[in-house]
Amino acid sequence: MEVQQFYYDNKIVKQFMIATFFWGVVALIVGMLAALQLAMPVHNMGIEYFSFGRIRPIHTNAVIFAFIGNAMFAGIYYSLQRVLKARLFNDVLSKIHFWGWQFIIVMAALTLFAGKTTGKEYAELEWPIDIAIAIIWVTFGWNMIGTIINRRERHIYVSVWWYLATFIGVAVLHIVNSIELPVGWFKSYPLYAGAQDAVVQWWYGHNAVAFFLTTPWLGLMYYYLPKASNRPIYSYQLSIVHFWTLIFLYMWSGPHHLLYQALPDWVQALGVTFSVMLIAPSWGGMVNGLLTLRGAWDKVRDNAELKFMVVALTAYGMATFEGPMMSLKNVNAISHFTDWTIAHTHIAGMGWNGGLIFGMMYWLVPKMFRTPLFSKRMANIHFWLATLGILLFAIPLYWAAITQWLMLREYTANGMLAHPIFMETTAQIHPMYMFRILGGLLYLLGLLLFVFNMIKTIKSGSLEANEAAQGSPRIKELAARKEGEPYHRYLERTSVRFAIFVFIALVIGGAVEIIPMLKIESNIPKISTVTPYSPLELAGRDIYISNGCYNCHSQQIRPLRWETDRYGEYSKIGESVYDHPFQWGSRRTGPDLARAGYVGSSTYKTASWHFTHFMNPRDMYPQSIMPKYPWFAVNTVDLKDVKRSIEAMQTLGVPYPKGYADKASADYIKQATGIVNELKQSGVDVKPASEMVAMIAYLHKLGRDISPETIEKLSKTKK
Amino acid sequence: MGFVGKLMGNVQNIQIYYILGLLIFIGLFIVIVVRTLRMKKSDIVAIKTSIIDLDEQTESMNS
Repeated sequence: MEVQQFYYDNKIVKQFMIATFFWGVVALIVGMLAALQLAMPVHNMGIEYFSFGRIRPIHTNAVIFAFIGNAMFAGIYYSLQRVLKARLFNDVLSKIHFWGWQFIIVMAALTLFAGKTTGKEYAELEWPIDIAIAIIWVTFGWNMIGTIINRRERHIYVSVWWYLATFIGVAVLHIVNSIELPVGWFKSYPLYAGAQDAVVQWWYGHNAVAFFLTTPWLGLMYYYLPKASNRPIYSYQLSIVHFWTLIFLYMWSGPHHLLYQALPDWVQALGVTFSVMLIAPSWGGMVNGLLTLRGAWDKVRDNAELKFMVVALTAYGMATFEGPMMSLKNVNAISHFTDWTIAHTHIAGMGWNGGLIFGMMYWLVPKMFRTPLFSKRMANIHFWLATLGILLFAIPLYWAAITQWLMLREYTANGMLAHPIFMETTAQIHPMYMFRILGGLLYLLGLLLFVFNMIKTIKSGSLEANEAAQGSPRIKELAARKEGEPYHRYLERTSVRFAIFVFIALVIGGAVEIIPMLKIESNIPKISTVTPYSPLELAGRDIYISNGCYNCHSQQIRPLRWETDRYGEYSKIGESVYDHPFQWGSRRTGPDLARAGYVGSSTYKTASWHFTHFMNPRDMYPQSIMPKYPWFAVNTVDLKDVKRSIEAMQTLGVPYPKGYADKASADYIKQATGIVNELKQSGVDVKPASEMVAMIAYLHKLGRDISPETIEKLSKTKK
Repeated sequence: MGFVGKLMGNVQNIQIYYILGLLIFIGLFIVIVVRTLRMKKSDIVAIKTSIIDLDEQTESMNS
C-alpha cells in the first residue's frame, strides 16, 4: 500500500497553549477580585468599570471562553490531526481562528468593563461580537470538517464525534440565543421577552455548559486519558451509548434553571424529567474514564497528569450527580438563588475543566517540546494546591447556601419571618466568603506554578512546528454499507451522515421546548393592568442591565410561603411580557426586586432612600456588601437613545401608540421632573437626565402594575 | 406560513408532548444498546486499541 508523508501543524497548538496560560492567569485574577468584592466591598473601588456587576461577567466569560476555550482548541487541534492522520485543513483558517478568538476575548473584556452587555448570563456580549463569534466558530468548524474529509483513517475516533457535536451544538445555541435587534453599535434588545426569553436563555445557558464545557472535554478525555495512561479506553460500546444519550438529553434540560418560576408547569416538568435522566450518560462517561485506569493506578501515583485527570473525572461525576439532584424541585428550592449553584459550577469548572486542562498540558507540553517536564515536584505541589483550593472554595459555599436558606425560611412562634431583613442572612454567611477567597487563592497559586512549570519546560525543549508523519493516502468515503458491517461502524466512516444524525439528536430537545413557548398563546397569559415601560423607566432598565444588577438581584418571587411572606405576591408570566431581555436573575446576593415598585411591600423604598443607598449602601445598612453607585448622580442619559429604544421596542411588538417615539423625550422629562421634585423635598438636587432618576423610576415600576393601587386606578378609569 | 403559525398558536395539551419525547428517547436508547451489544468482540478490541497504536509509527520515525 502507498505510504504518504505529511506534516502535523504543531505551531497552532502552541499558540493556543500560550493563550491558555495567559488568559488562565487573567481569568483567575479577575475571579479573585470578584471574591474580594463580595467579602469586602471596598474592592469595588467606587469606579463604575470595576464594580462587581461588571467584574463578575468578565470573570465568567474569561474563564469559559478565554481560559477553557483556548485550552479546548489546543487539545482538539493536536488530537484531531493524530486521530485522523491528517494536517489541519488550512493554515490560514487556523490563523484566522486563533487571532479572531483572541480579538473576541479582548473586545469582550473591553465592552463588559464599559457596561455594554445584553444582560443575559454567559451570553452577555453585544451583537457585533456575537457576529464575530459566529464567523470564528464557522472558521473552526470549517477547519475541523475539512480535516475530517482529508483524513487518512477510515473511521472517525470517538473523540471526533464529541468535537463534531461541540461544533454543531454551539453553533445552534449561539445563533438562536443571539437573535437581537441592534439599536446602536453596542446596544441591542433580544427578539424574545419575559418567559420566552427566559426559556431560550436557559436552554442556551444550560447547553453552553453541555457543549462548551462538557462535550469537547469528553472528546479530549477519550484521547488524552488513554494516551497518558497507555491503556485503551475501557468500553467502546459504552462510549457509543453515552455519546448519543448525552447529546440527545442535554438539550431538553434547560428549564431546570427556572423551577418554581413564572413558566408553564409542563416546561418545568420537562426540564426535571430529562435532567434526572442525564445522570446515566454522564456517569457512563465518568465510569468509562475511571475504568480505563484499571490496572494502571500505580501510574496515577507517579504522574501529575493522571492525578489531575482522576480529579477531573471525579469532579465530573460529582457535578453530574449534583446537577440532576438540583433539578428536583424540593432541592432546587434550596439551591436556586443561593451559593449552592456557585459551588456546583466551581466544582465542575475548577475540578472537571481545570483538572483536564492541567492533566492534558502536563502530558502534552513535554511531548510536543520533546523534553522532560521541568519540575515534577512543582506539578505535584500544584496538584495539592488545586485540589485543596477546590475544597476550600466549594465547601464554605455549600455551607453558606444551607445557612442562608434555613434563615430565609425560619419563622418565629408567632408565625412571623424570623429574619425579615435579607441583610441578616448576608451578614451571617460573610465568613464563608472569606474562606472562598482562601480557596481561590490556593487555586490561583497552583495555576501560577503550573504556568511557570510550562514556560520552563517549553524553553528547555524545542518544537517541531511541522512534525513529519506517515500514513496511507486520503480515504474516500463510500456511502454503501458493507454486508455485516455494524451500523455504527458504518456511521463512523461516513462523516457527513454522522454529522446529520448529531444535528437531529441535538435539535429535537430544543425544538420541543422552545417552539411551543414562542408559538402557543395559552402559554403566556396576559395581565390587562401590565403596561409597557415609560421612556424614563426603560432608560433606567438599560442602566440596571448595563451595571449588571441582575448578577445579585432577582426579579422573580417563587410561590413558596417564605418568599411571598418576605417579598409579596408571587411572580406571574404576564408581568414580564414587555421585558426585552428578562431580568429574573439566578442568584440573590441581595434581595429580590420584583416588588420594589409595589407600595407597601418590604422592598418598596422612597426616592430619597434609593438616592442615599446608591450613593453609599453602607449608610443604610452598615453590613451591606453592595457596591456604591455615585456615578448615577453624575452620568446622564442621552435623550436620542430614549427615542431609539422606544422605536426598537415598537419593532419588537411592545404596544406603544403610533408615533409615540417622537413624544418620548417630553414624557421622559415630565416623569423625571416629578422624581427630581420629590428628591428636592429631601434636600437632594439631581438633574432630570441623570442616571439616578432613571434608576429610581425603573425600580418604582417593578411590580407596580399588579399592585391594588394600580388596579383601583384602572377600574376608576374604566368607570 | 401564516397557516402554520395559526395552527401552532392553538396547540392543545402540549404537556403530553414531552412524554412522547421521553418515549422516543427510550425507544432509540433500546435500539442503540441492543445494536451496540451485538457487535463482535474482536472488532471492539481492535477499535479500542487503535488509539494507542496511532502515533507509534510517527514517534518511531521522529526518534
